[in-house]
Amino acid sequence: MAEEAEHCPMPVKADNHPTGYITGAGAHFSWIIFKSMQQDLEKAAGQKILLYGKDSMLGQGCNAGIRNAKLNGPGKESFGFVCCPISKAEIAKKKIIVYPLAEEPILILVNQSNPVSNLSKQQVRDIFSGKIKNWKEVGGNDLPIVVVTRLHCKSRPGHWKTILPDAKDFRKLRLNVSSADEMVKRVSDFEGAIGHTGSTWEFESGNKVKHIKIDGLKPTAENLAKRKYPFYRVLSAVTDEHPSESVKRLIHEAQTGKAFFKVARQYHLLPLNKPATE
Amino acid sequence: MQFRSYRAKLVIYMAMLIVFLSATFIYSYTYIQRVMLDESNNHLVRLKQLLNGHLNSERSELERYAAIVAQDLRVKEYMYVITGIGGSSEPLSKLYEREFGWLPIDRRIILNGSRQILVGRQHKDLAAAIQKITDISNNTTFYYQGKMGLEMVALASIKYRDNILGFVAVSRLLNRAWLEKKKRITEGEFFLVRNKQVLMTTLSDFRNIQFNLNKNKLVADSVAYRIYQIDLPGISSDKPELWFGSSETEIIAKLDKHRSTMLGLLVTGIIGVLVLGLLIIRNFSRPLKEIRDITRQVVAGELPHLEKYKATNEFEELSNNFSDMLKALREQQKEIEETHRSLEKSAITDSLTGLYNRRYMHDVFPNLYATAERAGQFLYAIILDLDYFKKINDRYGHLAGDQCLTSFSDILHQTTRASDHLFRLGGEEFLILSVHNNVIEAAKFADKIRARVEKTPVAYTNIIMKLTLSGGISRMVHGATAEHALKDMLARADAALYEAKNSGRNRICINPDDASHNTSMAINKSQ
Repeated sequence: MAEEAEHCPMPVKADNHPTGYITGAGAHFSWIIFKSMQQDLEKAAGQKILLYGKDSMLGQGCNAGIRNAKLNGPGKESFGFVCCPISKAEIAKKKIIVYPLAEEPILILVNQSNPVSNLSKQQVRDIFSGKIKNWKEVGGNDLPIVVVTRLHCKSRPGHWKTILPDAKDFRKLRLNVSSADEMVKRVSDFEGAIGHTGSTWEFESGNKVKHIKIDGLKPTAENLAKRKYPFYRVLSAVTDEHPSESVKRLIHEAQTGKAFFKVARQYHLLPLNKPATE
Repeated sequence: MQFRSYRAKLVIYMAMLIVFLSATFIYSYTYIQRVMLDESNNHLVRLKQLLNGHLNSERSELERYAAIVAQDLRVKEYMYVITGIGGSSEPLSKLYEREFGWLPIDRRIILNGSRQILVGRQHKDLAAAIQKITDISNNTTFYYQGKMGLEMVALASIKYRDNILGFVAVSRLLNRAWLEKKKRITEGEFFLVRNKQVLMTTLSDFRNIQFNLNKNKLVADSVAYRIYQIDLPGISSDKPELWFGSSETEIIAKLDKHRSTMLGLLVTGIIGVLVLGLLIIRNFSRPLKEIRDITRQVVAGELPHLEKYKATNEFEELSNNFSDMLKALREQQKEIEETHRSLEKSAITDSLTGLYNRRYMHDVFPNLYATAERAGQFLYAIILDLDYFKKINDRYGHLAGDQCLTSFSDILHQTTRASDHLFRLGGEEFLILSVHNNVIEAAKFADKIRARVEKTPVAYTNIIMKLTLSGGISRMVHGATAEHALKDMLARADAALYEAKNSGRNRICINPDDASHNTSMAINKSQ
């Protein structure tokens, strides 16, 4: 069953926007970065920062990040963060500035009980497209393959589109989930499941999933840098066209600060900016 | 008007009061009995409605649980994938346990579109029951008697885009615990019955209970229950019936207790009325009876003596007052009698001399006449007249004359017999009616008086008066009437007196008509 609707995060309302803080909101995968280096960012901005992305109703999604960035104003400075690349047309239309942070490898997940630990890029694409329907076709057990997808931000390039370029290319008989958490649960439930999620996702102990190598390569920053690992997406920050100096300093710190590079190493992210010099 | 005594009326009043109390008791008891039984029936009807409401509520709740599962998108996805790829249904079980394991139900089962079990393979009996349902295109709830007992089952179809992917059924056991829970709410007893055999009940022992109804009544262990059936729509033709009952024995026991209490009050009331009545009769009747008897004696002319009470109530005070009234009447009657006697005496006597007057002479003469006639005696009239009495009055005054008259009457009393009758005819003239054997004896009798008068001077202040008298004697003539005889006798005595006066006074003359019988004589002072 394919769920075609894009995941829509909760809208951010200007009236509820906190004042005296810099407010950041958006996709969970970018939120992980900002949350990990919050103290450094506050130091750079000279202001306290409120971040919404995991635990708050404000976050959860790229659209929420862009909406939060547009709420920027005197006394209520804000920015957003997204997990998908933003096209030039959307940038122009929404009058925003995108600040790329890092490339994030997209993990291909299978059930822990699945003996398969490596697939080729083409096998992955054939499985997700439905050409391969049983794990025995790729060296696994005689087990029907259950495709689990999270086809979010369909109008934006990159991300899951590195697996298959269009939603209609995916196998129709599949499970489509609305969150990474659901993705992990589905793959845990179905022994024959295959799914995908970003490398910054923090798995829980009860999750019965594992990620596999692609063409024998692990989903690392090095393999991304060498353009050998094929599935990835770009994590970015966004502001409106008139960000304040403190927001600019904050984003600059996020792009180039030491803390960011530390986080990048932790989650196998490929930074897209050079570290700041002393 | 027919006379009814005070006691009879009081007895009637007490009887009426007792009848009233008894009627009140009977009416009150029957009314309360009717109200209690009606209220009990109404209560049972309300409880039945309440139980149906509870069952509907539980049914709605169970249907909601089934709907929660059936409408969950993940369940639909899992069903879609499982049925689509023909894989294991274990993920669906995992999903169910993870997401819906909290549902407060006893059994759950998920079937695919062909009604094959995907989740809950241990509940094949329930699946078989569902497989028997011919039309389950719509969600439904039914009661099912399975291996675990009676169950309420909510069945919901899992649909995606108008296609039925499968079914989910959740059930709740209507077991002893469930019955006990309902019993705590309703305080009644429940019976799960099939083919007139009690399968389960809230009663402690039901093995020997035969479910034989008689007008909504069931007797179990000597206890009568009024029972109502609780509606259990279901698919099994042999599904049991659920009955709810409330003990009528308990109500009847309450009524009996109430009746005993009221009966006790009634008996107490009747005893109270009787004691009160007896006290009233005892305390009121005695003085009333005494007063009634006394009044009857008073009506009969008596004025009896009535003992007085130490008055402590109105009746005794009334009796005392009546006693005082009788005493006053007695005293008054005594005064009247004395007055009467005095008046009677004054009417027949002369106030100065105390001798009988002329009026009494006329009254008493017929008796004297009759007596003399019957005895053949001679009755003589002796008229005595004081000589020169007018001169005494003129010379010494009337008081002196009165003294002479009283002195003379004293001499009369002293010289006459008790059988003689003395009269003052008026002024200084007196009459003696006396019985003598002959006229000589009568003359001697009269002369003795004359001699005594002559020898007895009368003193008035410092005056000494010498008196003499003249007298005439006549004898009563027999054969005439008393009136005529008196008149005749007095006329003849008066004629003799006239003779004595004319003959020189101070002498007694016999009427010549009477003297001729023996001797005609005149007795004077010289003789």
